[in-house]
Amino acid sequence: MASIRYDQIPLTIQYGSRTEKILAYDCSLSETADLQPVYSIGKKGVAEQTPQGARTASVSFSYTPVLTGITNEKFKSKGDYNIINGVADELKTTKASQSFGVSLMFGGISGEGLLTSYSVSLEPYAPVQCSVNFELFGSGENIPASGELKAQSLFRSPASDLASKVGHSAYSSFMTAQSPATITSSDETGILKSVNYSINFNYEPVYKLGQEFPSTFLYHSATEEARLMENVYETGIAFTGKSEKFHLDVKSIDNNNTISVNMENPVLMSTQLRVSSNGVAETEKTIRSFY
Amino acid sequence: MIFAAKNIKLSLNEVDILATQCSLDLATSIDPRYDAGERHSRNYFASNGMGSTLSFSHYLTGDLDKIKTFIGGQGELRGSDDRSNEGSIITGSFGGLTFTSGYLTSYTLQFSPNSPVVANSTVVFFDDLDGGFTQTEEEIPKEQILNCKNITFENTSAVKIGEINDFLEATYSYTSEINPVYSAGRTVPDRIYFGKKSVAMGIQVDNPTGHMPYNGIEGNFKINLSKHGSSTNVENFTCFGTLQSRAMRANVGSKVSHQLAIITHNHTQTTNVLGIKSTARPVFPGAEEDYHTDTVPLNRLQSQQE
Repeated sequence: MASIRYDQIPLTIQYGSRTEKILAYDCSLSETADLQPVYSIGKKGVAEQTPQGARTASVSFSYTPVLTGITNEKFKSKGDYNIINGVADELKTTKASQSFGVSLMFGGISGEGLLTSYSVSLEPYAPVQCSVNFELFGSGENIPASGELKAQSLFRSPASDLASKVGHSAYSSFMTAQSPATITSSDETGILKSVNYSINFNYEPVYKLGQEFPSTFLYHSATEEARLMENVYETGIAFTGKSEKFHLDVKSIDNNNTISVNMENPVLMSTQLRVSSNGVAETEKTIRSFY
Repeated sequence: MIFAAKNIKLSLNEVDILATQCSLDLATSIDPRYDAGERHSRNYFASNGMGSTLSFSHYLTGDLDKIKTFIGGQGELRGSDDRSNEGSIITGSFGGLTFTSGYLTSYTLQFSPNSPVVANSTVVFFDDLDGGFTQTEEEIPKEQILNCKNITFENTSAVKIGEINDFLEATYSYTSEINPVYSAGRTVPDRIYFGKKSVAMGIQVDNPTGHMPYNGIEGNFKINLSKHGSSTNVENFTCFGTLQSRAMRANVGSKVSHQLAIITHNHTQTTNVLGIKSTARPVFPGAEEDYHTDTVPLNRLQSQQE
């Protein structure tokens, strides 16, 4: 009986001249055919299940970035050692409408995907956790995902590299919506407990008649959001939106390489204060940027 | 009693169709009759005959759509009286309610990428319905529905229409004026005469351009449809006409669209030959010696006309 173990299915991402194997906790590949039943009045049953749209696929995975270095000078200039973060940062600020995909290879199956969501989760004394979703539409005559699942050679990396190069909150610095907040009257500073950052991209695959897969993709907009958990409530949400700043530098545990997340002109959207018995008060504020 | 849609059969000219929806609307043309000095009325009079319509949507399966054949044949053939031009008359049944003199007044299709091809038709009829509402129990036949993935365009338009590489969306629309002719004292028409017929095609294409001459541009498009995995065309829709308008639109969060509208009022590319009649051949003056029984000299022809 054939079976393939998790360490025989490496996940590799290629964007431009940069290729990285991802230290993923999990990965899932989904393929969908858009079929609908054909019913008719006066008849029992279905004539067939007929296509209503093109086949699509998606790849999602969670991982901890290993900041082992880069090959692309363009990314280095931004101090960016995470390939997904680099793609997201480039895409959200681009003025071009034509969008190009990222090559994904997952245990012998490959495809070209568009980054649709990317999130970064940070908690004290913990490695950074990222979650990513790619949508694969195919292009022209190319199906969204091709190849077959095969065991690959084991992905081994020196343990010392992994230990020292993973993104970690220990040396990370924040400038996150004036967090942790202070109680102005007593000048006491609260504790920033966690940061959950996410960005979602909106694309439009352009289909033409007579061809299943899109001929091109248009990138339209992006929505960026950060939710900050702390223990001091900062009052003062504004009707017209309170301007904030968000700059996150996540460093490797050896305090060397960095990934940076910078939200442009974020605005405070909501705040929430909650407390339950046997606990301290917790606050959450949400800031958003749009591109 | 309440019926389910799967038990209500729709057939036109004894042809079964895979209809997704059907609507039978019967309407009178009654107006209130007011007496002088009154602004309320309980009396109504008929100002016209019954106007009834049957609207339905059905899947195209590629066996040359039977409903589409009415576009070419309806109103194009002379009747035995040499005046009427009814051509093919549609008889229909919807759940056992039947009519015998229907006419196709509109037929539209929307072509969207990777979507099944669905036609929307409207049939008008002016006679009374016969029969009673009955339910049927039939199995649906296994059919392959035509899909816009298997579509090809033939573009033989004038060069001035601009370069077109991609066809993104398309519509095909046929409309025909159907006019009943009533004799005095009758409530159902004696005959039908057909007014203007037109076929319009709307095509969303790439390469936005603003070139639009005041007298239009020749636009010739033919849509061919084949079945999955086959290159044989099993259905086609043609519009050889004139570019009537073009529109470019942009909405936030969406692509720029460029829409062409082509229209023709001569939807058939063939000429109907309805028969040949011999006519007298004119003979020039002085050509009496060539006179035959089936020819008439011009001078004699003139005197006959006088």
